[in-house]
Amino acid sequence: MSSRLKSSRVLTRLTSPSAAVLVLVVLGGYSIIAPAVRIISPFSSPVFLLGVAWLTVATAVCAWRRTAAAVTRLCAPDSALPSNPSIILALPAGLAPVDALARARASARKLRLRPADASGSLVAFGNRLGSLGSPVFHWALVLLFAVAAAGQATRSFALMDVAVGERKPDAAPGYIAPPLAGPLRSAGESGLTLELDRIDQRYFVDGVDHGPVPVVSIRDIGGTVVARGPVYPNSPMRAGSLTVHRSDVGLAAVIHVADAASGQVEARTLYFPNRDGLARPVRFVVTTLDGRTLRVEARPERGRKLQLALLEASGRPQATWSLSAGGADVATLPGGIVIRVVELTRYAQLGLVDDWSTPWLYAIFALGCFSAAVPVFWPPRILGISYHAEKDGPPVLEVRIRAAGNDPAFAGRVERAMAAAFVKDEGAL
Amino acid sequence: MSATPELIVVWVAVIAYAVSTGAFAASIVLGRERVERLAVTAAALGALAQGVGIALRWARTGHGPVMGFVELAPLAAFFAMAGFLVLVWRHRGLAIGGIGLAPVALLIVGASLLADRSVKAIGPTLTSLWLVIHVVFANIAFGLYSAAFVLAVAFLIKDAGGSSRLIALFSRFPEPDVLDSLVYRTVGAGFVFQTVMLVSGSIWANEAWGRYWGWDAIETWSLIAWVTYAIYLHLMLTMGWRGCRSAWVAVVAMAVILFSLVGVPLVYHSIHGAYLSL
Repeated sequence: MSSRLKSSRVLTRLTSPSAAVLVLVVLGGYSIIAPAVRIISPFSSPVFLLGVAWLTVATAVCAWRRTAAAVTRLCAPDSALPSNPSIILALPAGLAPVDALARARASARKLRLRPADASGSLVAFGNRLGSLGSPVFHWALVLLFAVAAAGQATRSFALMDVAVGERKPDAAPGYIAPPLAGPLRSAGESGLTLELDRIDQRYFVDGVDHGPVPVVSIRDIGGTVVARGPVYPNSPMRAGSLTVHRSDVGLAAVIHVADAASGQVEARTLYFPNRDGLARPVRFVVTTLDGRTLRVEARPERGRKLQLALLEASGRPQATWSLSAGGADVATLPGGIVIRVVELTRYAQLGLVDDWSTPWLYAIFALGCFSAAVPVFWPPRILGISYHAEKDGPPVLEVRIRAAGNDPAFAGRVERAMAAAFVKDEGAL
Repeated sequence: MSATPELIVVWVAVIAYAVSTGAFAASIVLGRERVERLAVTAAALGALAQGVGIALRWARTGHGPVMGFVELAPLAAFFAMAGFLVLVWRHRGLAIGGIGLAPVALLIVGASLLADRSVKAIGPTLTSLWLVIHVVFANIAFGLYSAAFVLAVAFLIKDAGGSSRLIALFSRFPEPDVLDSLVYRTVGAGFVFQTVMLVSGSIWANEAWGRYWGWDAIETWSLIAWVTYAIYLHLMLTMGWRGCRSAWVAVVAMAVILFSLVGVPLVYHSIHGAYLSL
């Protein structure tokens, strides 16, 4: 056996419906067991991805075969009909073939089928384009696999804290942690800048309070606003492939850290994590001119104040200050470091998803739903009707039927309609 | 709006389903078609009252039937009953199948009267049109799959043959080949609606959470249920399975979708759990 023939047979077996069903069952079992036995990232493991890749290829092969069959059915409907007739109807003796087929044609029309003459017989179609539903659905599945995989491979998700009035470029230095990026994600930045215009404490939509809601502006590289508006659950903001979601809202403080010796002033924004409605303390580091590192903890206090604590190496507070926002009081740390609280404000934690595939997936979803519905609600049906005259018996009408799911109810309707067409006028012949 | 009219119609539904259950049982014992017609009429009245009850609660709470057992379980029963009534309307002989559905609907709607009927505030995450689409299509799919299950069981009993009282009970059901086709067509329609449910849930998850698929326990099991029905359709259409084998697949698939709807929130910790809780 040639190697080409062997590989062709292997491919046929791998993409056969039974193999696909087996892979589906294995993947289903894996999906149940893997999380239960605490496999880390079970749905991005090579085993799972290999199974999905296999299914994609099997679905593509299936889609190709279905397309070929559907095209054949559209171009040569006779070939799709079964060889054995579903109905054999005895006709009145003496009925000419032309008359018999004319009556059959009228009956087909009553069944909402479109008759067309074939060589010496009649073919009637119903919902002809319904044949394309299944292949289109399978191609939509293949596209879904491919686009979702490509989207996941190039996707990036990051969290960014932005205080009211602050502007931050959509880039790694502004993120809270390294972004969760797909393996093929390039380091390229979107060039967009996010600005938090304000936070609306209460924001009602259809009577439901979504507040506090950040009002965000997205600017392009030239500074032009490309999107602006409130961001709340079920209403993310979009700019190109970037989608901005609200993740959280909390308290922020803008402080000035001044080096008395050099006169340098550095502005810093502290974002206090919000847990169970309480602002948690934030720790930061200040380096003095002589290279010493000071660890400081900041904690919001009542009355628009910020408590600063200089920490020992063990983490215990060495000295504390209570500073009013915008006031003249300062915390003077060792090494000539002076800290002043400029303002206490609020910040929004925004989830930034950069994924070009989302609108394409939505389009594929729509295509998939529509194409799945077509063969179910508008099933394609073909009738092949032919006249046969036997030597010693009455002529017969043979009806071959192709209907999705071998619908016996449809066969019954066809039989009744055909019988009625010939029984009605039998006496007149 | 007060809860009283809503409670009255739910009680009407309970009584109607109780009458329907009793009448179905009586029609089996007595073998009278008139009693069976009464059972179907009572079931239709129950479904109508349930529909009115769902609409009244919707108007009172300001949100669709999407929160907790008291809203979700009766909605599933309503769609299952509606699916059954449509089937009976098209195939009169299927009416006796109501003996399987009417008691279940009675239990579910009755239990909803005992459950916490307080209005659960709908959170910002749930205020989305996608939620309504997602839940309604899930219930339509479930109703159709339930009908397919009943038809598949009827097929298996009828196909087994013999002359027992149980077989005689199903004698008015359509012939096995018609039942086989009905199972296929009902599953096909359910599959389309389940696809819309999955797709709308996925789009909604992306709008609300920033990801369209997160392999949450309910997401995973919904996909497994979808794939199970896809396997059924492929076995029927591609591999030519017919009769008992495909009917058994429809029965097993029902167990899978029941677990994905009812069992998963009880067994797994899921982000959906809060919405499906008792």
